[in-house]
Amino acid sequence: MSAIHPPALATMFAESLVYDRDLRDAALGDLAEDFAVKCESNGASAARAWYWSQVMRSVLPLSMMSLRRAGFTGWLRLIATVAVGYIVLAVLVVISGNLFMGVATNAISLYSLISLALGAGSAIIAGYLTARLGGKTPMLAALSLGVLCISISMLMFVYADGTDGSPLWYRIALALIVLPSTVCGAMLRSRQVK
Amino acid sequence: MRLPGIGELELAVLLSVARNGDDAYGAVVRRDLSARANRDYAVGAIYTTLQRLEDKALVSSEMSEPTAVRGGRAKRCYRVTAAGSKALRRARELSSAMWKGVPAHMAPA
Repeated sequence: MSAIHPPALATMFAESLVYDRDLRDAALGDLAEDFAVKCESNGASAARAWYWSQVMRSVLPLSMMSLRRAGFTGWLRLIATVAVGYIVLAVLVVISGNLFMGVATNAISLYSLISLALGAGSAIIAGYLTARLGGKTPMLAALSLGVLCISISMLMFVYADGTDGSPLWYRIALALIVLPSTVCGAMLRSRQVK
Repeated sequence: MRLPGIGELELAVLLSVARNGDDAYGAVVRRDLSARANRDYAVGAIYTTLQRLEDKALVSSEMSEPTAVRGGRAKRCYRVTAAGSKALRRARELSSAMWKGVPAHMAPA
């Protein structure tokens, strides 16, 4: 038997996708079993790539299954949770932006990098909170929050370009880190529950 | 004749569960379908389909003991129910009825 283990980050992400413990064990056990077989036949790198691809391709079906099982109230809860998460994130970003962006310039400065780190931290907190309130669909709620933030950032690029005084690179960077950060928050929540 | 009320992937998964008997669990079904359809099915798609079949009472499931090769995780073993067997028979009858009269060069060998 191979001593190589499946990618821990992918496993952690997959664990937070399925709320039902039995189903989670069954799906992740299957992946671990096939990963060992792929390690033997195709090598560790190919097996890791296959594992990641399986997890990423399972995000939508597993999330939608959890939501379908949660029923109509699950949909309502998801919408309310994402709205709360977005408000919390917006408040945190405004506070952290006010702390540091006043001295930010178009050049990458220490202050703007700190502000960006605070933005990522805010998104992690909002992702965690969203996952915590998300009931049976914690990761779906955090993913939805991330997608909502990216969509609003893109709209702001088009309709409010530069009106908040922040440099363009900062807004692009913030839009790029928001989804991984909210996912990270949901994974922290998942670890806590486990 | 009424349709069995199951989709194409649901029928394929149900047939795979029937084929694999007592050894039918997610990984076996996924490997079986991937080999037959020549495509790598996602584990999420298989479990979503199995869950739908279970919701329709066409399969039943039970958890096995955890094993080391699965990272200490248990299997969820599936079995075709009486309603599932009936749905398979109806799907077969429907398919046969639909193929009747199709010219030989268009029919599967």
